[in-house]
Amino acid sequence: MSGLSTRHVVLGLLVERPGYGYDLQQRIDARLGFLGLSESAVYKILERLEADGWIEETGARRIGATRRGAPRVMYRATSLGRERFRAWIAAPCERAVLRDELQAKLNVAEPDDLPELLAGAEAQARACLAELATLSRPALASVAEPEVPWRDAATMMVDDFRVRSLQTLVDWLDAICELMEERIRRASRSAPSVPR
Amino acid sequence: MTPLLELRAVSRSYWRGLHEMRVLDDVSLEVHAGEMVGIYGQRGAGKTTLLRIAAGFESPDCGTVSFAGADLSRCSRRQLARLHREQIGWVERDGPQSGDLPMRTYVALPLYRRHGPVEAQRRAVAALARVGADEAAELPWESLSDTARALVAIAHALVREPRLLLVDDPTAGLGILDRERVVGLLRSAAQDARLAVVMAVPDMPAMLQAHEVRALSRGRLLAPSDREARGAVIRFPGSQRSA
Repeated sequence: MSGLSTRHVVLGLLVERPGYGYDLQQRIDARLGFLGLSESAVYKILERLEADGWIEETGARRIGATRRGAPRVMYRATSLGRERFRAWIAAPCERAVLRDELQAKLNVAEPDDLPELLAGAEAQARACLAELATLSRPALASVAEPEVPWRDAATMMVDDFRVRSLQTLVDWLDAICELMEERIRRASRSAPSVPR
Repeated sequence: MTPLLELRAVSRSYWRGLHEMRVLDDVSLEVHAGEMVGIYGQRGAGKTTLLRIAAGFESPDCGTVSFAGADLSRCSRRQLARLHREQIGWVERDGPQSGDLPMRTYVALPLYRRHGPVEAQRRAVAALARVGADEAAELPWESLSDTARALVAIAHALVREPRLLLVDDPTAGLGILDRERVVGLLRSAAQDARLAVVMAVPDMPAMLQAHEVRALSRGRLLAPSDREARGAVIRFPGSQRSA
């Protein structure tokens, strides 16, 4: 996993409150589903965090058993872990690069592919609208209200990023479609054969 | 149920010299009472033309526009004027022609003919209160903030208790907090007063308030793709729904 530090994410969840492997994996899935962390990956991270002294077992054993039949081990962050977590929060953030399949296709497509690329770009714009329609209404203003739980406020801000990313994507698709259309038009006007 | 507003295969071109600019290309749209449709598009995408045609201010080159089942192209000037006075609210961002008019009077103007000045002003004050712009009642347009102007413009359209509200870029120049307030107001107008609202905006966060979303791109009106449709997939951080 490049860029985003998954161990700091797991650590952060344990700073929030103690937890066990399956519970942590569920919390990650709900909030940071894009990480695609499996339960076993979480267990590996927990082992490393414990070895580094960032987290420790609480000693409490959750009633019930994991699928493997072993008792659930509860972890909490140590004071060193809390220190490392705060340092990570304060550190500069890496910016993710959007990976877009259409960009890859543009890079390798041939001039004859223009009509398909156009259709693909339009389909992508329509998918952006569909994605927009699944997002809930904003209550972004409520982020400024101290009474609104911080966790909810944070989710709203992350959702706002998604909306703005969609806007950027739609604007880009719109621009390249216009240019590709114009290219097709000029090519058909100026020469009997499509210039390469 | 017949839609309140229906555009069917509407096209519109403008001529710039010998060059034909197709602003709207085969645009179809249905809007029902109680529903707010958001149309996203960048500057020059044709949003204003679309709204003007929906209002009957402008005619399409081809295609039809129906309001409550009636073809607008068959309406007389007088009938259209009456529709604009009573049933179609156009949110006008330019304000009154005369600068020193208090907003109470400006908002009352569309009602003078129907209700007389006293009742018109009473309703205007109520409309200003409803959008949360009471303080603007005695002030002239010039002294209002951008937010107050946006609210007064909505009151000016709503005061006639229209069935359809057409809004062109209602949040231009507003910050996040005021933008949510203004767009939220439009949504509740649709929901609570059972209005049909068509709002055109160049910023996507404002679109989240809409019940239906469309995008104008190169003169064509795009609808969201079927969630099950193949061909385009967007994966976003945290979006399991879109896979």
